[in-house]
Amino acid sequence: MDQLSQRALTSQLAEDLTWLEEHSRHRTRESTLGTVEQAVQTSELRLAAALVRNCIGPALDRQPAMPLHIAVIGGAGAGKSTIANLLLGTVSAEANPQAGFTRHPIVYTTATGALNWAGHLGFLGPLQRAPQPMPSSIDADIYQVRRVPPDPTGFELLRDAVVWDCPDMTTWAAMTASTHDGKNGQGYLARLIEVTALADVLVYVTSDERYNDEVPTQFLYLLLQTGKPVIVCLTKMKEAHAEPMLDHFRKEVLRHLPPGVVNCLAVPYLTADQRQDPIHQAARYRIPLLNQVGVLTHAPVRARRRTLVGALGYLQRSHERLLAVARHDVTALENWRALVQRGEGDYNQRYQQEYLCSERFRGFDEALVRLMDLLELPGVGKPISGVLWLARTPYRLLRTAIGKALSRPEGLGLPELPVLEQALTGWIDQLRKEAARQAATHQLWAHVANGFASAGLADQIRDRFQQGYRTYQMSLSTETERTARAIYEQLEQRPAMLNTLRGVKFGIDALAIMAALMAPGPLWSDLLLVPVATSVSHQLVELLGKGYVDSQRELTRQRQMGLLTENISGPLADWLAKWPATGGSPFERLQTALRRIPPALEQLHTLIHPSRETN
Amino acid sequence: MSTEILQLKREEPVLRTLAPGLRHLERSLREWLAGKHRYPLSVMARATLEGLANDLHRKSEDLDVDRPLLIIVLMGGTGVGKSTLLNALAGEQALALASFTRPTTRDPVVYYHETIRPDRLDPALRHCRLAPHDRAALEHKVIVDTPDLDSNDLANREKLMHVLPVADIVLYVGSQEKYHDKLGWDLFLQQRKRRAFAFVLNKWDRCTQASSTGVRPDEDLLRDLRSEGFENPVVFRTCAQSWVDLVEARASGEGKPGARPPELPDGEQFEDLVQWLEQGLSRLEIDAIKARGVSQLLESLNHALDEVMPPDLTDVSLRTQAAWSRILREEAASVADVLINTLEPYQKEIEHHFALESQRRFTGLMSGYLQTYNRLKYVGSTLRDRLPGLNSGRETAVTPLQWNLAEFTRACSEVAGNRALDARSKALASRLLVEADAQSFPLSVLTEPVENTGKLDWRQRHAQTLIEALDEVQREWTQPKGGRRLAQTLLVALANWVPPLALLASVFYWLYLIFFARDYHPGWSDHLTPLMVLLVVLILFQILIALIMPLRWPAIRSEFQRHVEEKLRSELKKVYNPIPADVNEALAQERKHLAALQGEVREVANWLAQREQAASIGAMYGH
Repeated sequence: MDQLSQRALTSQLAEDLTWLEEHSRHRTRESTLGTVEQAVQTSELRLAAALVRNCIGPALDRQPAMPLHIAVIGGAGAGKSTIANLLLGTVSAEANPQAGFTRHPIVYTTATGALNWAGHLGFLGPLQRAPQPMPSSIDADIYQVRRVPPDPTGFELLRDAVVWDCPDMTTWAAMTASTHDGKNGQGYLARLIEVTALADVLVYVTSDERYNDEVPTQFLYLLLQTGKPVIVCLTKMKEAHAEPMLDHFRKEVLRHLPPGVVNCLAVPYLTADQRQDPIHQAARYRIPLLNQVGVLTHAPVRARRRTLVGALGYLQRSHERLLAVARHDVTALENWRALVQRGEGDYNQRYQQEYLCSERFRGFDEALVRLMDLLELPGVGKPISGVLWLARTPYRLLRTAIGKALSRPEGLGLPELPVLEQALTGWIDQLRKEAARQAATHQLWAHVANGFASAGLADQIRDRFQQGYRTYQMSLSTETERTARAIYEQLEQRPAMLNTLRGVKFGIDALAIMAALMAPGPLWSDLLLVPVATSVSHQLVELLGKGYVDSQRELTRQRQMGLLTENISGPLADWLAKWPATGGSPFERLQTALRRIPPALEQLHTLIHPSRETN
Repeated sequence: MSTEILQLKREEPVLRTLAPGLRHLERSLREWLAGKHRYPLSVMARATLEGLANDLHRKSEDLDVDRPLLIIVLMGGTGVGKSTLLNALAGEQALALASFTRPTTRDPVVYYHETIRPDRLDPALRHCRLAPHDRAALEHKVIVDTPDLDSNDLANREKLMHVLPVADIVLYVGSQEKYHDKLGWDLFLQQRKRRAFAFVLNKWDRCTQASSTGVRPDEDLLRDLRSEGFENPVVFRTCAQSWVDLVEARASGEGKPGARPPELPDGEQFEDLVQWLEQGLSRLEIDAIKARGVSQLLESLNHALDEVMPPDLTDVSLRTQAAWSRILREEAASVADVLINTLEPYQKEIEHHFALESQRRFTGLMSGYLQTYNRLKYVGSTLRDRLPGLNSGRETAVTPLQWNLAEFTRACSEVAGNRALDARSKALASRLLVEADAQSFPLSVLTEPVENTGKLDWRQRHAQTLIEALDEVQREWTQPKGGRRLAQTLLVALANWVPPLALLASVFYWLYLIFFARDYHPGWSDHLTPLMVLLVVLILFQILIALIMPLRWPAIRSEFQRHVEEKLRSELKKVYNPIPADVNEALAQERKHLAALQGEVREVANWLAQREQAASIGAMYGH
């Protein structure tokens, strides 16, 4: 796979995941139930898309491992900026008491630090680099780069890495539009997720108030699943409480989380002096922290590889859960299909009962007459046949009379096209009714109802029916005629068999006449028996022929049903079943995403673990 | 904050008289909820209304005393200092466990005056940790410390949610870190229309750090509250821990602690908070808060009832009926078509039936002749069902051996049903519903009755229709009106009398010839002459009858079809047409019921509004 198609692969995958995220958010807005779960699901999708964009994409693109990304995350007011300052060794990040002050990520690098990493296409998704320095409280989809002076103590953290100071995830502004100057409807949580996906090392900051809070813990849980190493900083406690609190945190929180937390450090409440001079006054907290980070970043290539493998692992492990966003939609689509299929069954049944059952296929009656004619003796035998025919005259008259008296007039069946059209109207009405009834329960039904109401779906169905009906009629007329003709043509084409049958029939006649003549009694009564005998034998042969023709008729009936399903109801049902997922509807996009994501993940797997391929 | 104590002489505790009214409302609401609903009630709406019924119950119990208790509930995230705040309020009496482990408080603590009997407390509070005190200034106020709302221990949140409905005032406690948290804020938004809110920004010392950027947390909070409609909210900035430390220092006798903790940051307002709790919330305020709580409850009840109010469908149902009549007419025509087509194979039987019916009017010779003739004519159709092997057709009705009209029509309707009509009545229901939807009739209420009507025993009805139509056609033919009636009566009379007279005349003539005529040598055939004459007369009459009273199927058929169609149309209309109006009627009943309920709510609310007192509590409610 070349560079270009790899890029296409990752960007498409990221796009699909982003679409699913949008879809999920859209639904969250619509429904009032289970919003917490849906919010988590939306975050997971965002994380997955961001991992593809920011982590897997650049890696496949052979971007250099350095600089590594260190992200400082945590709840509002937990002291993220203070910890960032400890890492940087300067007072660069704005630490202030306003909760949720920082609204977009800020990356710190040295004055000479390269920003080559920002060149990858689609990197950081919607986040644009801020054109000029601005306060971190600007609520927009941006990130800004700040240059800091080199660390005078000789810790060269920023030589290999950059440090991200991130927004929080606990204040309401993180998840909802800001009420003051809000243009952005999603809150800034998405920005935080975008950066955490990029990070190679996470520093999770939590305070004495927050360390057992649900929202930050859930976030930590989510990030640990991506296999990124995490350093936990517990802040703001009294010096004396540091150790017991660390113990309590490990016992109450970490024990329930997946492994991945490398170490927990305590940074007690810092005085103003300590905050102002992190290098000297707060050295006792800074140095252990820098050591921890240093261990994780000293081999950049390995660290980057770890991030990459972790990201892929997360995608593979969670992809079923991620795709479950669409569960409701898939169920709705299945229900729609079932409804369409039920309609198809009803349609076929109506055709069968209202038309096909009472259809006599006149061609076959004619075929029977032709068949009987064929069985008469030809050529030299003709006079004999004529004589026998004359002898059968009383029988023929009698039969006609009896038949007339006993026969029932046929029930008039409806003509075929009206039956088909009425059944189609029934089918359409059923779909329409169901769509209107369930429009409030799921978007799909609303989509269908709208299709009927304003997109002319019913007319489209009728057009398709007309097309199907034309092909159906064409294949039908040839089919029925051929079957009827085949009844006698088959015999005509096989003279041996025809002659045998003629012989047999004549033989039976002759036998009957002989038997009548041989019978004891006066001659005149014997002569009377001759027409009786020949009539009986003729009737016998005709019954056999009728049986055969009737069986052919039944076969034709079945074949006609087959033709109907093949030409009209089958294609129509297929088209209808797919209709909601066509024409650029969200369901089409959804299905595309659902179809594309699993193979894309497999492809990524073979790209990232090529050794498995050769095994 | 008003601290003046108004001296008011009141004869009757106003709020107490509210209790029966609320109880009555609760009963009506529960009755309505328990009843059947034609208009679908969503799960959410039902849950809301049930919650409101519970609230009504709680309020009525709460108010049914001389002086109701004011319940103040502390609400906030873990670690913001709710317990510390309560401890600081309680002074020497250490009540709530406050510690650095999170979450700290697992069970609510109820701080109340010792004169209150615990069984006077709301059931939700009785099982919490009870901490009685003897401070007269807090006599009618109960302060509840609750577990957190944001820790990993979700059971704590449930406990909070259990206590919250009892609250008259929620004291929303935030710290520098958490005053802005989503979980707490969401809960505030959810509850703000239901109770009074006051705010405490604890750990005030951490908020006052000088910084070049950002807004001070209290200003930030005030800004957010303003945008939620709290123009001038009650906010206290506190350092509860310092006050607890002071009490501890006093208890251990360390040094000489003053009245206030040392090094309190500027703007610390713990004393104001105590003052507000003790004096600011006077009886006047308590009553006003209670009254406001009730009116808020009534308001949300009214709103919830509005939400479940079924729509008025009078116009829509009329439009729907009009639109349906066309469909029903078409349907009647095509069903009649199918039924008549099913009768087609039995035309001889029907002719026979008609012939038998009409020959009843003749007597004597004519009747005997017609009977013999018909028996011979229809021998085939009567024989055919008795002969095996002739009924090879697939959908012939199993006709009974003895002619029986009811049996026969039932069999025909059975065949028609199997063939087409069952599917058609299902399709008709869909068709009608689609049309109703086009007239914007809500299908949720219409689907069931229409589909049930479609599932009625239509075969029985069709059979009945056929019988009636046959009867009517027969009556029309046998008892016509006007000139034809005259002609028929005349014909019947002639047919009954002429043949015997002709026979008599010819017999007399024959006898005359035999006895009186000369040279009369009759051959053997001459003796048959009277009979021949009779036969000729009978045949002539038969021809006349056939001309004047035709009974052939093709002549009956169209008449018959018209009758069947008419009958079906009226039948279909009778069954389907009232449905929209019925549904509308049922919904109107429900509307009436709900409107009555709302009327009751308004009545209580008006009563309350008339007696609402001016007290300084407006700040605790947003707009």
